[in-house]
Amino acid sequence: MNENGTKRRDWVKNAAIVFLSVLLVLTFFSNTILNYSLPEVAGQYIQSGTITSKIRGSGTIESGDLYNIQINETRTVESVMVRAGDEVTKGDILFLLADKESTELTTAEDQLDAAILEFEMKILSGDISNAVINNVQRNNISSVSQYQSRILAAEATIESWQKKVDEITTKISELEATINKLGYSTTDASEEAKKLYNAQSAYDRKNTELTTAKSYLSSLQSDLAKAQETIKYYENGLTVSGNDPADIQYAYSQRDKLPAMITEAQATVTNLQTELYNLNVEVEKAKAAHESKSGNTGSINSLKIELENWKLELHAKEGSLKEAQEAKTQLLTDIAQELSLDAQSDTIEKLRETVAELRAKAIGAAIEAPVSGIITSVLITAGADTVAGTPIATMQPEGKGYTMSFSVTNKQAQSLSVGAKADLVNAWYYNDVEVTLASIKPDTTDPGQKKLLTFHVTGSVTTGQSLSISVGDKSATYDMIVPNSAVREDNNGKFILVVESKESPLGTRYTATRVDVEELARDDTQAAISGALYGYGNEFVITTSTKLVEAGQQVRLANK
Amino acid sequence: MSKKDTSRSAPPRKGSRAGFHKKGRKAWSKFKIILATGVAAIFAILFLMPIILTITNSFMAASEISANYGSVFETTESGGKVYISEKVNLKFIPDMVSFSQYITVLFKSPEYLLKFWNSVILVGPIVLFQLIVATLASYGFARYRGRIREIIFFMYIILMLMPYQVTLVPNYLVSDWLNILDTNWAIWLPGIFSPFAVFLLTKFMRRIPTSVIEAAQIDGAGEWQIYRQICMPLCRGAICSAAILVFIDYWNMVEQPLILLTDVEMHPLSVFLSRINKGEIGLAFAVATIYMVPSLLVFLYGEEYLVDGITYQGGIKG
Repeated sequence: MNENGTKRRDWVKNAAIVFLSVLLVLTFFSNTILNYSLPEVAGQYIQSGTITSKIRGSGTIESGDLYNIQINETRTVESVMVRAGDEVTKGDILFLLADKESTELTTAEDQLDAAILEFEMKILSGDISNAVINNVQRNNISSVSQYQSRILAAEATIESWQKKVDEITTKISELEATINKLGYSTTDASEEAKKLYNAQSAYDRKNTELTTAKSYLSSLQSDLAKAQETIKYYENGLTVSGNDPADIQYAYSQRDKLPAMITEAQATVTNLQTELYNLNVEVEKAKAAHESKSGNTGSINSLKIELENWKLELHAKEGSLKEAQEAKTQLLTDIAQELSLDAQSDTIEKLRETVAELRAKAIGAAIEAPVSGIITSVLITAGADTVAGTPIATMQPEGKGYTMSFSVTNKQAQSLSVGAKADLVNAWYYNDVEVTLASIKPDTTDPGQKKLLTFHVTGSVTTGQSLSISVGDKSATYDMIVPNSAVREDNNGKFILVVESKESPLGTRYTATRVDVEELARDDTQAAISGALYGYGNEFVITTSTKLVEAGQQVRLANK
Repeated sequence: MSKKDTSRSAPPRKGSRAGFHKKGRKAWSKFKIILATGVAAIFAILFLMPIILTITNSFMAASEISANYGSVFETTESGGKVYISEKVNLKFIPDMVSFSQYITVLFKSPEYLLKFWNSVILVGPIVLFQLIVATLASYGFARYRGRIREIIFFMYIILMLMPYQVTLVPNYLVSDWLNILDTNWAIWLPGIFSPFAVFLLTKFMRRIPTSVIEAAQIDGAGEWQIYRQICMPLCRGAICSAAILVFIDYWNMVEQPLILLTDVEMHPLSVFLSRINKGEIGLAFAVATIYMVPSLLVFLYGEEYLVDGITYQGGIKG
């Protein structure tokens, strides 16, 4: 072995010694170095115990019984004297209004004036008869049945005249036929015939007037009888179908005024009968004179005369028929006008009542606080117009209390009952605040899954304040309880990390192992779980760590 | 008249036929040397390339590793790519030399260091006790002749020729029967009693002259004294070469610990390296480089002995 070989062996020997020494040192310090890079975890063994499951939640204090301040007029707000949070007593001025009538009153007055103008212009137009105007002004409006009876009477008159006209026309036709058969002979009795015709015409006209007057008298008598019957029934306590109080009132007015009208009508009839009798005498005289002049001129002349008479009679009857038809037309017009004017009159009356009501209810120049309390919100600004029936401010009346609400799951709500007292969380400075569960209702945002808990709050709190509470006091014993910080959750569900130890030549190695669990109950600090675990005292659960720990990752225990 | 001195022949004259032959032989010799050198260089490059690649790539950062070799290892389950190039780039020179892999291996991954010492724990006793057993056995085979010895030696040769896979199942069954599975004894015992070193040292011990041993016997030395004071010093080279070969053989063992040790924590670094996955290519280069160092040092230390041992085995006398 030469010297070079020896030197080389020495060099290799030294290199091997250094290499192994370095590796030995690194191996010796490997755990130390590694542990500085490993996350340090702390935990505790699974325990058994009792958990009192409380439900925690927070909500915003709201006014329990808000009072809406509103007016029923449209007025312009001149000045707002309060703001949200102000405490007011009853009678304090909240808003100042502009000094002018409300829009509703002004509008109603304008409508009333327009209706009155229209009514007056209609009356003064000349198209309406005085009788109609008087009836409207005296409020002497007939009922529908009365209108119908008058129309029927007019139609009956027309029908009777038409019947007479038809009869006379038939007679004339027969006479003309007879005359044509017998031939003509002339006797100059035209003067007497003319007198006779005039007398007969006068007699017929007067007869027509008498018939009309009798008809009118008959209708008045009928109306009076009807009014009396209505009053009789009413005074005896019997109801008359179809009659309303207005009809009762009308019956009384009819009973008062109809007798005088009947008397007047009767006088008219009597006068007409007298005049008719006198005219009948004149007709008889004229007839006698005509007969004496013409003599027995033969049957043709008499037939001619009779024909002329019948023609005269026909002319008179046709005149009467035409008058009856015109009377009916006028009657219909009067009825329509009477009804229209009556409606307008009613409208005017209602508008007057409205105006009077608005004037009576008109608010003065200020809106005062109706009750004592705290203004929670002001919903209008100076210069804006109020809207009738819309609140312009809200206030919390004195002594009415507050509420707060929050949602919980259906399962959590099952453990609660109305009336349960709730404890404040992190609110040690609220000494006089009491919170009581007032209602449990389905949450409208998720009615199938959640319930809305509403609490009644009393004490020194204000609207808008946030409050955290806890409620519920059911407790149970569980075999496996871990701190809340030990329970983790990901997309696959809840789990805990358990430390598993393994002995190795270089020391004990600790590994975080995932165990899927189900959370049975939870309170403020700990949770009861169930899963593939040996039970209390055997598993060391990781609660906190200096770094994020994942399942399977090596860890080091705190203070080990 | 003295015999013609043929120890040194006179140089041929210029232009003579003998001169041309000599020149031709020289040129042919040179050509052969050049050719042999070239072929040897090619083979040397081929054999050295993986080692050089491993060493140079161990100084690359993880991102460069992924960029160069990602298409081989880096594929996601959904087919997405996490590498830059679709081709494998064999780079010998890093874009930027980085010691991050060595830092990770040496300072942040004690399991690699643990595996290294597992290898040392497994291989050290095997080498030591195998040499002890082999020297004793080879002394016996060298000193004593006879039919039984020939039969036993023949069985040793047969066992040595068998690949490990043939004796794997019997080894497993015997280990299970002895209740030493999942323990280092399952690796040590078959290794200690391996026949290779026996065969190697027997051949060498047979070359010790019998006269030396008889002289020692005449001087009153016993068998143990002959073994310890005569044979062992004379066989130092062979023992070193045997130690080197056994060390290299067992330092790279994979099948034995893989089958006989189910606890992964007991596996040597050779097994761990075989399981390098896609996320640790850079670490694999660094660990492989560190893994090569003991073998290299052992070889460098005993190179002369190894060469001498091979030379003796080849029967070339110096």
